[in-house]
Amino acid sequence: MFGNVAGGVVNQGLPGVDYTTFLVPAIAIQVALASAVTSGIGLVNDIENGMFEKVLVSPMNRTAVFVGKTLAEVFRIGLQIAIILGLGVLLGAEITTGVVGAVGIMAVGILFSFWFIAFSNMLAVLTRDQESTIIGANLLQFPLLFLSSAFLPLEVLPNWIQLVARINPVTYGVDAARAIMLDEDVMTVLEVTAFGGALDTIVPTVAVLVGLGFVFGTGVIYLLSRASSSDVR
Amino acid sequence: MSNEQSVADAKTHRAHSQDSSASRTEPAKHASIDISGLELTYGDGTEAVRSVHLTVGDGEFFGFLGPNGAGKTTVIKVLATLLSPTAGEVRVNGFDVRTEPRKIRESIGYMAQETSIDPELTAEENIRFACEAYGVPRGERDDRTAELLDLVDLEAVADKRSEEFSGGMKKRLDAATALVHRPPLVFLDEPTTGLDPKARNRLWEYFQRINEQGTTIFLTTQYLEEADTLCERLAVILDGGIVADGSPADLKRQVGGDVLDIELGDGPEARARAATLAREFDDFDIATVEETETGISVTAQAARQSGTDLLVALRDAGLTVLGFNVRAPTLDDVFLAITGERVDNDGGAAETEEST
Repeated sequence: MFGNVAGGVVNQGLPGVDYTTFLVPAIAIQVALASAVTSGIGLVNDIENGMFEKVLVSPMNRTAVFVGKTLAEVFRIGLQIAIILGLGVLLGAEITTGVVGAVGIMAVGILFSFWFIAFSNMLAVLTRDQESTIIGANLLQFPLLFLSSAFLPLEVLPNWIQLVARINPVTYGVDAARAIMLDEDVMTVLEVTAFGGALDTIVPTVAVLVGLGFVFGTGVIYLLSRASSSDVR
Repeated sequence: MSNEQSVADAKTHRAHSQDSSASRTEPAKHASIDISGLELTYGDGTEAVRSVHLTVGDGEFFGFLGPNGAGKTTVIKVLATLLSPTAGEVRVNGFDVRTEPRKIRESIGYMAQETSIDPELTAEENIRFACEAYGVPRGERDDRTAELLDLVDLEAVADKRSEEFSGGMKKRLDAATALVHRPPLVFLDEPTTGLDPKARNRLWEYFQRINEQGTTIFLTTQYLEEADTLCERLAVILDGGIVADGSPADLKRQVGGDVLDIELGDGPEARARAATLAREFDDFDIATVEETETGISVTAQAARQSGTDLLVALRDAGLTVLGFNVRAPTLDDVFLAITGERVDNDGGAAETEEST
């Protein structure tokens, strides 16, 4: 039923697009977001049950440990998005750009997850407490999703939501995935026309996501190396 | 002090055992741990450790005692390369903690105060993970895992997830994971805290077994009884500095005689009077008198011979003596003599038992 109502609204913004197709990229990003939360929770668990310290006293290369942990999470996110895309197609969604597009959406989802993986790990290192990490990350997760272009086109939403959506990373993740899905310039928060077609969305959003990943990544690397260094604090 | 002696003892130990230390590159004479002038000041200005000098010989079973907050864990963390010293020279297995931390990590086993195992993994998987972390060659992992499961008596539950284990089982598993690479030196930070006596005894046996195989053990504990049973040599840390060092017997001798515990019938006032009487009692040259919850405790060389005279004197002074007990000093008394405080746990046996 939600689909019927929302479908009508979607058609106002993007004519000829059915709601399932509209929604699948948003779900892909949602999955990436939810999985990224578990990364921080995993780190807190390791800190709480002493495995973090155990790794620090072992001769393992520390960079390799954190890279390995992140790769495992990234792999899981990619796999989950693949499943979502598969289910979406079964339910009638259409990936205009085909298999290449599907891989592209997985890549966007993974790229998108970096900043939130970094963010949830920062929460973990800072709070060293499972509850705080879960609450902190989850509290953010839902507003981020709803105050973005994920579930409805921005032009049908109130002005204040449009305003928040403009600075919300989820908007950029969803728009990138959706542009690949529909092969259209779907982004409304920034007007870019330099590249033509879907690229007008993909290039700037990917740039934003790379930038975010870089900023948050630097933050988490700083915090992690501080937490794992032997310098007295 | 008795350091050279214990090194010599340790060598004899090692001569009997075939063990992994053959792979060691350092000369046999070197000490496992060599600390000189160690200082560690935390960022908030807390001087956790100030000027610690300590040498632990190869193959020794060494106990590191001190009240909570005295700096035990800080020292162990420096030795395990988790904390960098503020000042001083620290060498572990011949490697400098500042410049060669990785070499140290390869050559030590570390069992933290909190049990550190992954509850989602089975006993066997936990040990396998440790094998991988410490780079145990692939071909040896199966044998090593089986051997360690056997050593800590967990082979029956090898395939069970470790979250279901009891506290003692988790501790034993934790100990096993610290040993996968046959480290010549193992740090045990309060390994038996919170365990029931049976589980504690099993861990003790197990630590003794690996020590007999030539492993140097550095143990911190709050249980003096544990240090007394296991350790060849002890050091006591207080307020960030080492205040005593020697074998358990040496330390007990330092207490200065036997201990006479007297239980008194009347209130605190009577205890104070009795304490004054005991201090002024002529037969004891040097006596340490302490008021306890139920009476007084007198430590003196002549406690055994002249104890009855003191009891008579107390009775003559109109005090009611309900019970008394003469005993050799325990490490608890050593601790009291050195630190001025009793260890607050069930480990020290300083209760008066007999009645008149």
